[in-house]
Amino acid sequence: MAIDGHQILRDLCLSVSCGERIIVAGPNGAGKTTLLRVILGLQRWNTGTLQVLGAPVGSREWSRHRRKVGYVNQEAISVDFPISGKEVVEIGACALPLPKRERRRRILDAMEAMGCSHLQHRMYARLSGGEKQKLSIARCLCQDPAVLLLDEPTSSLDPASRREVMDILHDLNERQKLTIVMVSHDSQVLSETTWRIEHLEAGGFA
Amino acid sequence: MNIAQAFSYPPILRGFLALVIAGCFFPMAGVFILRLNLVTLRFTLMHAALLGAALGLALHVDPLFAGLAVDVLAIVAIARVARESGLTLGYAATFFMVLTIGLAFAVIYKAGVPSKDAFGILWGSVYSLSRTDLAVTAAYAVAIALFVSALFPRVSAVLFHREIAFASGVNEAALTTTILLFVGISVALLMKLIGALLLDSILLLPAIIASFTARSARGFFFQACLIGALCSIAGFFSSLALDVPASSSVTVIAACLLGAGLVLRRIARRRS
Repeated sequence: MAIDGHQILRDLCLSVSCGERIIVAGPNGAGKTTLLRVILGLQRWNTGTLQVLGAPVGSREWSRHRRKVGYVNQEAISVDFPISGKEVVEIGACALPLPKRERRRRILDAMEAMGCSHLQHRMYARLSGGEKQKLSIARCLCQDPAVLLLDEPTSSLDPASRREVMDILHDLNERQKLTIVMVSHDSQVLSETTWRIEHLEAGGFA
Repeated sequence: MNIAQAFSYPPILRGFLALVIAGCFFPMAGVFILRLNLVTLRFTLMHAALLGAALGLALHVDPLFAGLAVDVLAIVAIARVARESGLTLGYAATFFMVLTIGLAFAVIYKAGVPSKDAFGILWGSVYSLSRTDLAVTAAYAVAIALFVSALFPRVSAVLFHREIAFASGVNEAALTTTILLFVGISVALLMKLIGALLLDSILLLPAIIASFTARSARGFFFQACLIGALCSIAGFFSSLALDVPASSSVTVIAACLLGAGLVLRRIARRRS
């Protein structure tokens, strides 16, 4: 695929099984974030096929599956909008056809699962990076996802928070059999992980 | 003239009601402008409303409705151009701002529209509202309140981060276009009510003040509306008491509140 005439991703072939956890590693500008955006349907591509949960991305069938893919991006960390922790998590359930009570229960359950119930009434912009990431993952859990896409979830965290977030993700994968695709260039994470690692360089897998 | 006497005049009563309704509900559109960075769009809509007024006068249609119609068309076009071209809303809005003002001058010149009448839409007056204007303002206030309250989590998702809203299953493109439409209609109605040059006192300043104090998205909307109501009511009565235009007194009060908010925020930051 190309953006403004520049080839960003090329000759990619990647298959991720259900319940698998994978890290796409690579330097800045390798195309890691673009890859996630393509999987989400946020970025168009030129040639090739892409299926998520068995549906071609961009198809009508895919539109129905879209909610089964949770997304944690880098930019959400720096959002400066007066929004509470609970309201951030609520976003994950906002498009689900759920009764009010069920929706509320799901929000509280997700926050409890992530150990961030105490952040319900705290202002998002004033939280630490680790707390924001926990809320972002809780937001995705509200969607009851089958796949979790994470864009550099540990990049702005201190070592303790980084380990905590990685432990949470590992636990989610083990307990809920969530498929996790994470992009990272965090050498600490890459050296400590037991996850499958694919290296992306200049738009293609090395 | 006391307050009771003043309210016995239908134009004054209509103006008061319209100002209170606008103050209570229109700051919601200010929250949209602030959060989605639509400040340029707001200027474009003023220019588009001027084009609408010129067309209205040329075609003998109510300039308010013609302005509204052109604002709506401009919004749809800006959203489409931004989506298809990959331009930001700001760039797309700048393009249409130049285009609409150019067309407005062409219409004024070619159709022989008195420019004083066309530019009259930039000034506005709360006391010149017809019953229809008041009814349209009230209907629009109900519409924006219903939109925000009924779709609140989706609206806050779009305001939080548009890509995350999309990934959460929200029809982000349709919702953003609807939000832009509400902004467009707010601008057109406020131009008639208090004029283009002062509409920010009801549209934007309450939202800016609320952004200093709100701790949640719901609180942001609620406090913006509360501050808007306070500014419009206090502004109206002070205009009667001091015999100054209502739009001016609303603006001065909103600006004073904004100044106080900035000072309080600075003090709070120093303490923390």
